[in-house]
Amino acid sequence: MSNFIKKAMEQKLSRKAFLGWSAALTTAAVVPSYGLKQIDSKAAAEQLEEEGKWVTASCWHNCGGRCLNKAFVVGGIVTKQKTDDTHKDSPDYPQQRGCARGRSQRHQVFGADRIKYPMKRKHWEPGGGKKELRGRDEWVRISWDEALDLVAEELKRVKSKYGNESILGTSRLINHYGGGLVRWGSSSSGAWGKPQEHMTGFFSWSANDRMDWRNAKLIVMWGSNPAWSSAGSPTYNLLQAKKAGAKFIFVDPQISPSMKTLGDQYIPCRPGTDAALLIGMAYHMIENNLQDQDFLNRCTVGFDKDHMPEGADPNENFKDYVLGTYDGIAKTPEWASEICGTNPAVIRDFAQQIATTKPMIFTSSFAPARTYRGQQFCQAFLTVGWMTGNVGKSGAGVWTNNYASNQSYGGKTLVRGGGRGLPPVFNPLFPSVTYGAYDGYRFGKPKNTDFHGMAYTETYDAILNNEYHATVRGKVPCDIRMIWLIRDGSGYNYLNQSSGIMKGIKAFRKVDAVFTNDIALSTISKYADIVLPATTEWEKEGMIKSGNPEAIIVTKKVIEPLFEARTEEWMDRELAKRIGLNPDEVYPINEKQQLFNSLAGAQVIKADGNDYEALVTITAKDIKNWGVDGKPQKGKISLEELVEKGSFQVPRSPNDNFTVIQGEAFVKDPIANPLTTKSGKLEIHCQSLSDDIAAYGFTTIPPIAKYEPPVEGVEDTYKDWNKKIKGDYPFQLYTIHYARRSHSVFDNVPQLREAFPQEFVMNKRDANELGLKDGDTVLIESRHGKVIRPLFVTETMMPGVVTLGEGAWVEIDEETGIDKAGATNTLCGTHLSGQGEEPWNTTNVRVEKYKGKALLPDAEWQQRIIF
Amino acid sequence: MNQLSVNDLTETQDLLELRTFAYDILRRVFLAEPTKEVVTQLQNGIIDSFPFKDENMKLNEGIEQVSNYLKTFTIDKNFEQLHWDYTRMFIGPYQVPVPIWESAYVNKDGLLFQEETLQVRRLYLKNNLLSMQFGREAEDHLGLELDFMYHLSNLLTDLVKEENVEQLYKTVVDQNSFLKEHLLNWTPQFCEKVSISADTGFYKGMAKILNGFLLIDKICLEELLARTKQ
Repeated sequence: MSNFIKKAMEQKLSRKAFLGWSAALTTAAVVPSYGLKQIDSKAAAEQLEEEGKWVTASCWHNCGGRCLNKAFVVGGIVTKQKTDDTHKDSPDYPQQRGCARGRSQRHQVFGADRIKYPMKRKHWEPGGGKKELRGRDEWVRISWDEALDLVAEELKRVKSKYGNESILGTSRLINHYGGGLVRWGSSSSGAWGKPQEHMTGFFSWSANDRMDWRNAKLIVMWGSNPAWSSAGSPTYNLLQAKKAGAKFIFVDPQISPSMKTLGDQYIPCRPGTDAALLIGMAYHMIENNLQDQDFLNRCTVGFDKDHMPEGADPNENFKDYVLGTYDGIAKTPEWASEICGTNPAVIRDFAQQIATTKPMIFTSSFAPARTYRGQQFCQAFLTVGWMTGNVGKSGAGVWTNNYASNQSYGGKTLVRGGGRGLPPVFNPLFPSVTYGAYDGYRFGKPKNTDFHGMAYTETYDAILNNEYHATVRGKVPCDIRMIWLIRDGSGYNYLNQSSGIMKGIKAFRKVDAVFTNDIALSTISKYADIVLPATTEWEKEGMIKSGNPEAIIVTKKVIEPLFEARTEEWMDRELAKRIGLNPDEVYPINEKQQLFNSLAGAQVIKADGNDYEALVTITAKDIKNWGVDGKPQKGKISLEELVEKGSFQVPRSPNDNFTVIQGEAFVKDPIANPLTTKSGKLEIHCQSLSDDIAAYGFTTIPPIAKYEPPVEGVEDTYKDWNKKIKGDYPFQLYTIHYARRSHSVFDNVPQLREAFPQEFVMNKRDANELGLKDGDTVLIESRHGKVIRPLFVTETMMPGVVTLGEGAWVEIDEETGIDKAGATNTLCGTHLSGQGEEPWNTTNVRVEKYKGKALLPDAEWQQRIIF
Repeated sequence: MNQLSVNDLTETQDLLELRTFAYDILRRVFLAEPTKEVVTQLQNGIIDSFPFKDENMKLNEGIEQVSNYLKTFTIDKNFEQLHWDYTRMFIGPYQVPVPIWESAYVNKDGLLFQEETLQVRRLYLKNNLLSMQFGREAEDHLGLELDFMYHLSNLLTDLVKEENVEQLYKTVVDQNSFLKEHLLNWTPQFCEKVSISADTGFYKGMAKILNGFLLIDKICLEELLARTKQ
């Protein structure tokens, strides 16, 4: 006789209670709204038989690459991922293969830390409630209706009481509702925008096609680390140039992963001092008459007093500045060396190589321009590059890569998606600007007087002090009450990603309301009042994603929205109804139609290399199946095949018709083929650049490349520069793109944390002097904040320079004020410079052993899990 | 009926009912935030009637703990705190200390909606059951796994009445393997985490009840297997 069967018979009380319980709950009609329900056996059997299929899944991040990512989906569950296997890989026609981040996409979408339900900060109420609790309050799960009502009511209240100018942030909805203040400035491209515009007419933002890079004898990579900053094919493309015989020289404060992969020679240079190094190189070239004088005379203005642009002071030419003709300071390699830390002999040798090796490609990243008064680097880089005459020829070029996706590509766009057909909605408070994460990015019209908004780095001061610089208008008052970040999902997370997090938190704790939508509790949502659960791109209809100019990726919906996540479009439509707008006016066409439009409008280059034709063949049946409006058309690939395959890539070969030599016609005949600059030539002396920068009202620069010490540059690490006595913040910090994440996106994924531990990197001799060793937890302090991190010591880093990857999710210890995650923006100050560029790479810090508890590896930290 | 006597089966009826009872309580406790109705029922003596109190120390402790908690509990004063305890631990607040999904424990990556979820879903489908939150909530949520056990337990009582021996045995086998391969595979860790993280005696106790009862049910199912095997 078994025990429990018998014992059960004796448990009379329990059985009686059971009957009572069942009866009571039945009377109260407490049917769980969650749980399992009976379905018929046929439906169940059908579901059981589902075998799963590969779907092209978006990898949508601002990472510098664009790769093919596929998910194997069984009944809404993704069991595995793969990358590009649509064709055989070759150097000419490479597969678009994913990186550690793309292959972790599943971990982001299905992470336990997804925001699952609308949530509200417990002590928020209309008007703010206990504002000081932002970032440390408890959260309450609320219903969608409650969330939407609260958000809409508060938006209406703030608008009617304080006006649209009290709303910071824009979106399609907000622009329909009167607009909001725009944060503007330059992040990614640093100071490059204005020099490109005025000195080159954006001429040097384009490059020779990648096939032609294989003809170079020397390739200089200035501050570039594509192995980390442009994952995907760029490093592989550059490797082909190396195999074809190019020598690679890398200029960087550290021997980077790209240097290790491609480099033949490494030139160290301190952050923020690149202009000095370049000017020292120019001295060597002038001293030895190595410059390409014919090219300078024909194609540029401002190099010497005989070739000045109209109206310029002849004494203000570059050559005489370098020689010190008028200021008495010869900008010799020795002069440069004191500033940039590079050995004078190395400077001379480097200058000799670039001046005499032809053809040469002289290319830079944006990083050295992400410094205080960063325009001086851009001016010096272009000037010295042009002095070598490597422009408009095969295997030659002087350019800064136009965003990461273009690194190593250049050339024409061979295939591109069409427009999605959603009409643009301009912000009434910021003419000509629409909305989105990049709404005010590289705002280029400082002489305008009709815009409302402030520089990225002035946002928090504007909130705290109720005023901001409005360029030529000077300071204007403001009263910011609401921070709005219910917008398309781009990972836009400026509280974490803009300089001055500590000040930012203070500012966030001042306003009446902070509303966001998010897929996980990113920093900006952590300090918000209401966070709405957003879908990832895997839960949306799909889109065409572009990256490198040779391929497009066509993604599809992988799964239905998880938990209570919704698309931004749905949120905007629901909010529109509540604030008295017509949702169909805000979104006149649906997401499916938008995807269809972009496919129907997609174009591919013809074999002749000049004209474009429709990419996709669409039949009447396709249009019916999709349930969209459209017309049948003939193209090169059927809609079904393209969607199934997930990408379209134009095959390449060295002798195809797509190769482009940037500026060939201009260099051959600059008079007949002028550039769009004021003089029609490349402008070494550029008054309009100087004037435009002055109009912003932050810093000034001369019309030619000169070196002036930046705020928080190497000079500021000294108490006495002349006597070389170090000051309170003796190290220079520069921040790098870190392979663990795409800016701040992916930082929550444990397996990426494990692979890339966010270490603070320092030279070994510096560490020894401070009594620090590898693995120690160190305290890093700047004038603006403090962080702790595990230390990594290496001889590959320049002495006096330290680095940390940007984008870690700030984690403030409320007792000590220390950021345990090591967000670089905790350390970077909110300096106002140039066209509003974020001067991240000019930051001074000090380092010491941390006396508190040592840090756990990031991979072992708890995730931020809320609803 | 062949080898099994009607008596053999009828004797299991009480056990089957008690198991249904236990799983009904457990699923309601863990499936979602507490409701006032359920807590009131538990307070009105139900928790003290939880079966097999004396058969497992943990279970016994848990029942005592919940019972003690409910002695001073009033809806007006304590319900919000109790509700918060669930939300805080299993849904929010800032950092959830106790994920409530099997895959968060079993899957090496700690993700949701994983292979484990699919396995569990397939088992539900084999019994013609589907989550009401299909695609939005992962099927390996503790509440759903307990709900599955509840449904099958309920089904067993019907099958005994119908004397459907073949299906009866099959369902006991299913329950047995589900308990061993799924619930018992991760709930010990889950319960440990709850005992550390819960603020209320209610959830601390409930975790012990869950832990203790599942161990008892493992034995019950072995007995039922022996009893229903033809």
